[in-house]
Amino acid sequence: MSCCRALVLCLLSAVVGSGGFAHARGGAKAKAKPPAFPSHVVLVILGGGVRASDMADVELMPTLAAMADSGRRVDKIASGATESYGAAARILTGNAAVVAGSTTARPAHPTVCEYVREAQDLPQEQVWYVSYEGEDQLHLAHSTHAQYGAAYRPGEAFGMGPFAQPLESFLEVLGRPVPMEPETWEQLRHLRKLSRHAMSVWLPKTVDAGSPKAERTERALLRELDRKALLNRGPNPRDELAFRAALTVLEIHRPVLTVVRLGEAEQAQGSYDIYRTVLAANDRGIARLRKAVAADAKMAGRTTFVVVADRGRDEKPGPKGRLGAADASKQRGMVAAIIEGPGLRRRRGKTPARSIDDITPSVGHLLGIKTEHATGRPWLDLLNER
Amino acid sequence: MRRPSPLLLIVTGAALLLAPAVLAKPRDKFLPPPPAPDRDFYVKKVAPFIEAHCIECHRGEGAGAFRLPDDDPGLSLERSRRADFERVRAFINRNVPWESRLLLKVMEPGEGGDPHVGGAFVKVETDEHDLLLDFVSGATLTNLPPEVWFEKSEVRAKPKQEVIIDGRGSFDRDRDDMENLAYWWELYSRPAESRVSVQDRRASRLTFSPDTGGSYVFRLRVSDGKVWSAPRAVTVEVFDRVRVVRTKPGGISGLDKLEEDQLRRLRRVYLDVLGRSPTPSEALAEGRRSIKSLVKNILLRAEMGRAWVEEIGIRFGLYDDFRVSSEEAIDLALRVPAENLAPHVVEATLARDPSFLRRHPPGRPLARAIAGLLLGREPTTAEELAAIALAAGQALDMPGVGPVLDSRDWLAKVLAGKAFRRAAMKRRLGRFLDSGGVGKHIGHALRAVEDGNKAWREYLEGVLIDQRYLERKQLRAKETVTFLRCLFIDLLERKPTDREMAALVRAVEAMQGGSAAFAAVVRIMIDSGDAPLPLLVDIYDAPRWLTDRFLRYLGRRPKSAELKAYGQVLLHPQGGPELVIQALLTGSEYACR
Repeated sequence: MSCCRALVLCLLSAVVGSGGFAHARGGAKAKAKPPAFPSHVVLVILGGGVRASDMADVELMPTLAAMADSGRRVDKIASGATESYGAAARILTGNAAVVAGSTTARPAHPTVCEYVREAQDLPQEQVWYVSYEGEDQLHLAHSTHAQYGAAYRPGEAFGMGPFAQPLESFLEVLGRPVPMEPETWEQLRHLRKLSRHAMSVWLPKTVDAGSPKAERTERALLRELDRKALLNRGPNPRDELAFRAALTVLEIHRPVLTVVRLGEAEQAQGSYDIYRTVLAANDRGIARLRKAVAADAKMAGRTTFVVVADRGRDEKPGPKGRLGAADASKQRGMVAAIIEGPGLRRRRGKTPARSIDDITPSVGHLLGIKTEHATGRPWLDLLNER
Repeated sequence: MRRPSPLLLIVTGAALLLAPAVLAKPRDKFLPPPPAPDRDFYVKKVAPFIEAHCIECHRGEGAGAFRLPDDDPGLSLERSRRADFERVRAFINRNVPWESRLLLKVMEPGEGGDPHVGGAFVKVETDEHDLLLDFVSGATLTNLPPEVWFEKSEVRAKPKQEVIIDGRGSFDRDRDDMENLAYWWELYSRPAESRVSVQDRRASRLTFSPDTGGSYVFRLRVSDGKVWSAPRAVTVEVFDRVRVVRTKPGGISGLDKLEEDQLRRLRRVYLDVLGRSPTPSEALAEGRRSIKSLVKNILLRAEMGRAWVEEIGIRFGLYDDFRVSSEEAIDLALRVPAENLAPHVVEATLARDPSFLRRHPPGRPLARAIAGLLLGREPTTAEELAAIALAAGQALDMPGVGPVLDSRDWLAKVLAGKAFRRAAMKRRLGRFLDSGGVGKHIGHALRAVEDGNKAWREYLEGVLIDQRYLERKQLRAKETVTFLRCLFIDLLERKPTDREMAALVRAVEAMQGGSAAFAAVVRIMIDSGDAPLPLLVDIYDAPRWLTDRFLRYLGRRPKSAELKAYGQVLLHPQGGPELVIQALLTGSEYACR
């Protein structure tokens, strides 16, 4: 009996090994196994304070709800922060130490951007920090740490975008270009191809003008620059700018790590209704990022999204329709996160106590790097083992 | 085309044949240096501005290189401000006070300020701007210093023509003793064969007649009787200048009168030496000139020095916050054409500037800069580790260099070494020759440099008039700066300003590599309304107009298939002249030189 079973198993394994089942099913392609770990991570910080109950609410944030369904929703993450800068600093450094000096000083411990660049010896364009606001908010991009610091600073984008921002003074003088029609692109492509063909023997290989890759980049840049870019009338104008900058960065550079820091949820301090419209708009922004990643053959299926709020808010709005951040409820002290993409375990282990300091170590774990100065712990109950 | 007079040709030709030698710089020893920033003025007048705008980010472990000392509750306000002053003064450039980082960092970028994460705080017309400018210029509580002012910092003239440089626009900030300004002119640089000197150093207007072609640089300082201002330079370019003829947007420039070979040679020399394409007027005036005379003339132009120094500066990352600050580096571009400086001298002058070490701080960044930017190779692990130890204050034996005391000493020893001299020469020759050609020429070129600056220029002239160089068909990618300069010349018909160049380089670098960023810049320029583009109705002869644009931008006539396709796009409702020009300037051929 046991001999027969062994013979059957041998035959079965031979059939499987030779792809025999695929042929038996009419030649259908076997689905590629998803990678155990991502090669890209997009970390979105929903800054300004977001209640855990609002995160991935199906009606308010349908994209996050869908991401939670296909990935994981992580609750009960202790934040305890009272202001956004400090909370974002803890998320990005994985260290609970208070940021020294002024409220907008650079952190003393390395940020996740520095860890990733240092460990993988990546050029600057492979790690990006995109902020809803420039100026001193960019200080969170890298620390003052002696071993890391400015030498490992990521690419930084804010305001009108990574390309448009340095050009601000130039654009002020010359103005912005007019959006180009699809037919114009076709004509342009044809003429460029013709010129390339005419001189192909003498052209150096390094010149990429007229190639599909160059056109893709050019279109992304012009989208950031054109006159439509000035129309930004949503409830979350600064967050919208950050989304647009992040889209340019994703489309052009396909970074290993992209950190997108938002902050318009802070408007809850003025109005609960506006807060909800901001969250809905941010959900649509995240949907655009997901779509851009899914449309890119080199990033689709290899990118993990981590979306986390920096701090909580009061459980209920106040009598004047404002949603503050001062009560003693769980909503105030705890935040939620959504993780979607490769690197998640099928079965969950025992749930440990969680904190926003764990985000950087968890991103580090996903990308296979050590975050030696972080005090948080990676969520090994949720993530694949290395 | 108007022919230059025979006398002029003889004078200019004779001047060009004589290689210019180094002008012993007549430094005026008795004049005191420009005034230093005054501590009392800072404490009383400037400190409140700094405290209102800067300390939130820059106090203690704050942002950037500008770090004010930690708050010390034991210190009185005045003593605390004095301590701040010691840090602030490092951000002031006495030789070019109006370019001090302290001032530029708080100014609007649109008004010439540097990018600043903390934003801009002053506009040019405000009192706060004037206060800061007074301070960096050396104002005291009892006297505000004078400042030199010229209407134009570049003057063009012909040999023997009387040139007047008016310094009477200079002013005293106190505005009460304008009549009592004293002037001091200095001839800073002149062609070697010139015997020109300053006749009246103390005149408010300088008058001189250039005796030969080339670049002359004068500097003026003024005094209000209490202090002497920082110097300001004015360049006088003396050549048989090309008359600029602007054609109407739909007009034909007439480049088809030139042979394609003539145009190609001219474009090659312009693109390689001046880092830009020639304008149609220049091409028409110089296209038929003998190549020998063209090369000699171009190597003497002040523009050649500026273009070369600008390219090295941008390659070293020395712009914006890291703009050069030493007098030697600031004046370098003026000296290059007059003194025929060798590549290692030019590069070392910029690398010795304090901004180089700020841009590439001691440790791994410096190791990478020394290896990559100066020696033209990857750094070794041993070098990186040694650089880190050196940055930590440990004197050691540096691989390939020997014992060094600190990072500055290491940099100085590298700059004095043969490996750097060879690498710098390779880079200079690499501008004109392919790697095989560089390998063949480098030994001779290094020997020419050893024989003196005159021999070096003669050698370079030989390289540029060599038929193999002029007839080379293989194209090479344009460098960032060359590409941008060409776009300005071809589309806006002017050269970019320093600020425009820095902003564009920053933007192109943010997008790292590829031609897409340049293509986006082309689109901005075309849609700006500043580019003189024709309407379709202005173009009477479409094939001739298209041929003219091909000659102007690519230096060749279009092939029949190209002419047909471009003609169709020209007449298409979604196309038009703009799209034709966009296609030409964003194609692969335009990206090459």
